[in-house]
Amino acid sequence: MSQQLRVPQGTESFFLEEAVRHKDILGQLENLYRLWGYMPVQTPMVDFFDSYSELLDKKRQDESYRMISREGDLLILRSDITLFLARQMALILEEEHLPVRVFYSDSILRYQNHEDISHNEFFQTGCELIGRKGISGDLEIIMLLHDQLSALKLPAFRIHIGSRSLFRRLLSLYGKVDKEMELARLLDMRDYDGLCEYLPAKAADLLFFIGTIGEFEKTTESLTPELKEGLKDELVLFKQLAEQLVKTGREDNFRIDISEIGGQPYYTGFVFQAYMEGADRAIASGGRYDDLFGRFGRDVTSVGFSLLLRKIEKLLDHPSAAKPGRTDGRDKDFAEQYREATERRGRGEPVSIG
Amino acid sequence: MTKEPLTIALPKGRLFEQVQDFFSQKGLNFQFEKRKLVSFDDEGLLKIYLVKNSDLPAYVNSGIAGLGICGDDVVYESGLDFYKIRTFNFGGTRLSMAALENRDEKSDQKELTIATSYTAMTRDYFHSKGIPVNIIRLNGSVELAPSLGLAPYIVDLVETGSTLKANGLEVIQDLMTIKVRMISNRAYFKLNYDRIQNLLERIGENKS
Repeated sequence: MSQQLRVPQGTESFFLEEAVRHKDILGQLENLYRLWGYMPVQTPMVDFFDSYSELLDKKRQDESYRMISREGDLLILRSDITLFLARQMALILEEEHLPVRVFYSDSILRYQNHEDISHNEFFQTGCELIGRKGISGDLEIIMLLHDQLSALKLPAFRIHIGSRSLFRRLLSLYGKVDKEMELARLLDMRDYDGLCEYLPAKAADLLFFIGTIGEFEKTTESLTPELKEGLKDELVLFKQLAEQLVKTGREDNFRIDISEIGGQPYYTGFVFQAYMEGADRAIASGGRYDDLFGRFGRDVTSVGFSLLLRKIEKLLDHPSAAKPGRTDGRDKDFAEQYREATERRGRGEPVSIG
Repeated sequence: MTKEPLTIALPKGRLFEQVQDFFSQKGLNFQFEKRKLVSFDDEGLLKIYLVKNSDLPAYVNSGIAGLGICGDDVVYESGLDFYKIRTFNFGGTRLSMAALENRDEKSDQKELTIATSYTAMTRDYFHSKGIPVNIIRLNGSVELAPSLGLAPYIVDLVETGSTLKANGLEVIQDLMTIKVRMISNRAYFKLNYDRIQNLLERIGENKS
C-alpha cells in the first residue's frame, strides 16, 4: 500500500481544475510566443549524458536522473530543455534560415528532496533566439519575458539583469580568470569577505551592486579609473541596454544586478533572472550563450530564457475553470441529448452528456 | 514592492537572548508574549518568528521567513543554500573532536568511529582530509558516547569545554569555527534588497 502512495521525487501529477488552469496559462504563454514570431519545438525525453556532462555543474548533475540504455550508454532524462534544444537544433539548423525563433513547453525531471516543498521544478517553458548577435537579440528576449510576465498579471515582478562577460572581464582585470568557479561560488553566497580575498573592495562592491538603471549610472560614474577603463566595453553595453529599456517605458520592472552571472557556466553575455513576490526562488532565468551551439558542432549564437511554470501557477490570480454544463438525461435518450449538446457546444458552451 | 515588515526567523534558546540584546542596542526592540511565537518590533520594521533552531533553514528556504539568524552549523547541516548577509560577533563557537582523557590510544582503529549530531560537517571534514569515518548519529547528550562505549570519539560544539571535562573528555582537535550569521532567502533578498540593506546598515557588524 505504501508503495502505491509514493511517487518518485521530481515528478508530479495534476488533475481536473488544476490541469485546466495549467493548460489555460500555458496556452496564453504559447499564444504570445507565436505573436512574437516564435515557432514550437519538441525535445526528446532522454539523451546521452556525455553530451551534456561538461555543461552541467555538479548540483544540476546531482539533480538529474540518469540511467543505462540497453546498449550500455549512460542516458540523462530531460532536466533542462535549453541544453536538449541546443543539441537538437544544432543538428538541423540551416544557415540561410537564421535567425531562428523557437519556443518549447514540456515536463522536466529534477530530483528534489522530499522534505523540500518549495522547488516545483516540474515544467519548463521558454524560448530561444538563435543566430541574432548583439544587444538587439538580448533586448528581444528580455522584453519577451517581460511581456509574458506582464500578460500573466503577476502580483509584482522584477527582472534582474547582470552579465557573465562583465564578471569574466573583471576577473581578467585582476588576473583571476583561473579562479572563476571559486569566485562565482563566493558571489553566489554573497560572501563579501571571501571575494575581497581575491579582489579589491571596490571591485567586490561593484559585483554586489543591485539597483535601478539610474542608480547604476551613478555607480559607474564613481568607479575607480582602473575599473572604468578595464570594464569600458562592458559598461558601454550596459548603457546601450539601459537606454533601450528606458525608451520602452517599462524600466520600473528592471534592476541592474551585477551579482547575477548566470547559474550555469555556459553563459557568455547578459544574464537575467525574474523574481516575484511570494515565490521563494527565481521564476525565470536566461541570457546569452554564444558558445553553447558550438559545443554541439554549430558555430551560431543564441539567447533565450526559461520559465518554471509550476512555480508560479499557484500564485497567479487566474480564474478557475468553469464547470461544464450537462444535458438533462431524465426524459431524453442518448441521441436527443447528443443533438442538444452539439447545439449548445456550437454556441461555445462546454457541455457533458447526462 | 510591498512595504510589509521584513520577515525574520529567530532561534529559540540562548542565541535568541543574544540576538534580542544585540538588536535592542541598535534600537530595535521586540518582546514575545507568553507562548506566542510571532511578534513585531516596536517600529514595525520586522515581523519575527520564533522557531526551533534546526527548523530555521526550512522557514527561510520556503520564503515564509525572508531572513533568519543562526549558526553555520545549522545552515550546513540543512544542506540548503542561502545568502549569508551578515556575520555577528556574538554566539560563535567551535566544532571540535573530543575523546576520553584516559583513553587507550592502542585501541584506535583505522576507520574513526565518531558519535555526533553534526553528521554532514563531520563526514565532509574528514573526507576532505582523506580519512574514512564511521558516524553514529545522536540527537543529544553526545558526551555520554565514549564513556558508555558507543564510540571512542565525539564531534560536538564546544564553547568553554566544561561539559566535556565533567564527562571525562578532552578536545583532541578543532574542526571548524562556527559563526552566527544573518541568512536570507535569495529571491526575498532580491525583491527587498533596499530595505534589507537599510536594516544591515542599521545593525552594522561585518559585511559578510
